[in-house]
Amino acid sequence: MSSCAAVSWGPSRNPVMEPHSAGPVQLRFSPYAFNGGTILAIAGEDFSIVASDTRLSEGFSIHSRDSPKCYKLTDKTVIGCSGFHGDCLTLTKIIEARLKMYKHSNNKAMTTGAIAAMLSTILYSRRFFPYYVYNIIGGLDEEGKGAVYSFDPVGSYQRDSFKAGGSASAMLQPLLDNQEGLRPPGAAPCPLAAAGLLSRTEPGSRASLSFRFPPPSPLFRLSDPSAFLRMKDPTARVNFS
Amino acid sequence: MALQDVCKWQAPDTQELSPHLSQAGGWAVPRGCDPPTFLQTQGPRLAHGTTTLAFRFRHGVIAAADTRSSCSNYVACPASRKVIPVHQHLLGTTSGTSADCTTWYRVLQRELRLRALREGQLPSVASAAKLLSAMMSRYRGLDLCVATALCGWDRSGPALFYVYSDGTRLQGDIFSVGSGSPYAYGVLDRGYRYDMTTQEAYALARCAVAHATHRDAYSGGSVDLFHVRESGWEYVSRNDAWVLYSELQKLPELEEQEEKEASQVHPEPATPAQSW
Repeated sequence: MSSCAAVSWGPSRNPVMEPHSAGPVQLRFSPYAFNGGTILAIAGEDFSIVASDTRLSEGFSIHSRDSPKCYKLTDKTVIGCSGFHGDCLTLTKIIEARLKMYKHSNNKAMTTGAIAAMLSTILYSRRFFPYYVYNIIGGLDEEGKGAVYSFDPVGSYQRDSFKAGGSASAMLQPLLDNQEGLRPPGAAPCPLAAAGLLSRTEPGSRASLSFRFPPPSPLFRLSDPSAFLRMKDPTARVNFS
Repeated sequence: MALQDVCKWQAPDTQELSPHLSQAGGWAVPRGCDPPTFLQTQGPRLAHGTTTLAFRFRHGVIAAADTRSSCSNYVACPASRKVIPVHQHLLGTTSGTSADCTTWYRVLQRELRLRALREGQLPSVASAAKLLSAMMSRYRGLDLCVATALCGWDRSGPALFYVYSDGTRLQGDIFSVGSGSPYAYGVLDRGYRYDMTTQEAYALARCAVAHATHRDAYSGGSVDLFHVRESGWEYVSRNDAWVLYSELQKLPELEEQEEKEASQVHPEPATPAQSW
């Protein structure tokens, strides 16, 4: 996300790549690695969309082209996790175990809001050695309305209408603010921009449009990439078809 | 307590501090590195809060805050809530690491509720502040960052306490907390009187936060305003900070214009023979 933090990540820091770095450099073991990835979620009137790219990288290497970052939790909730892949896997395992425990004790599935609150306490329990994961939960609340909850790595969270997280979040969030945040009330929603946006920011990786409630019929693709450049009026709607 | 002894039941809060916070018992810490250094150098950037202020006056306590939540130089959320209600007569303004503030406030809410049930009345603001600072001082040196002002109305009237995560606890009439606090203090100190009216207090709080958001990079978004009265807390308004600041800038021009109009309608008395 921010280039200043890239220097101290991972044991893959290679002095050969930086022959002219100024001054002595301390190399130490880092328990984290940054595996990249971007996630986003949008809440609609009676639906939610959670989307992610599928690239798993480390430094300049790509580990996988097919590693989606959305995980289904219940019939009504999906979580997107990006950051350090090891922590993403462990965190989702813990969440799934807690969901099962809740289901067995309470005889019902956890609601989206309850999962968000639980995730906040799970993340905070590691306040001094955090899970290096940026989470966004998308789903339906008890009234059937779309709900999106975004988290920071130690559990601070709140409910939003839309949120982007991960390495390209600084690129996606302003476009979401412009398209979704400034949309006049009553205008037709443009939710599948999510897939189009992601296919632009990570060229070569597929955008996996995951878990739209209810399921979509045609799969939308961004057909005209130069549409972005031609946009002069910042409030104009761009039609993705 | 007697009933506890008879039933041989241990109240959870007399055990290890906040056991519900860590399921495994004990906090996970990285090996080979002390936690604050680890978090500073290798940890993820956390969401920080920014300009909040609170002051007490004759008609209660005013709490105001901006709504920008930033992670280094990225605005993670432009519309976050930094004033957290604890119970009907107590609010806390939060600044520092958002996750720490929300979690410790949840713990405080739980503790106060338990004490109210046990003792039959809600603890005073002073004791709530003492509780919070005592809980957090056990984690001193571990890079918790919670800087908060507890604003409430209890049996002694309006009360305001500043609590910091190293255990600091101060009583006062005016507090501003966060990166934008110097700017807010300048405006607050100029306009504060204990005997203000409620509308004057609202205007002062909005003005102070608007000026702070104008100058501080980490403050912005909107201005939230809360008022704690004898009957409980009330959410007064949320105004966009930029709009508020532009209106404040227009005020001198409006005053000048009014003076001009006034002097035109009632001109300086000239020679009596002059007529329109």
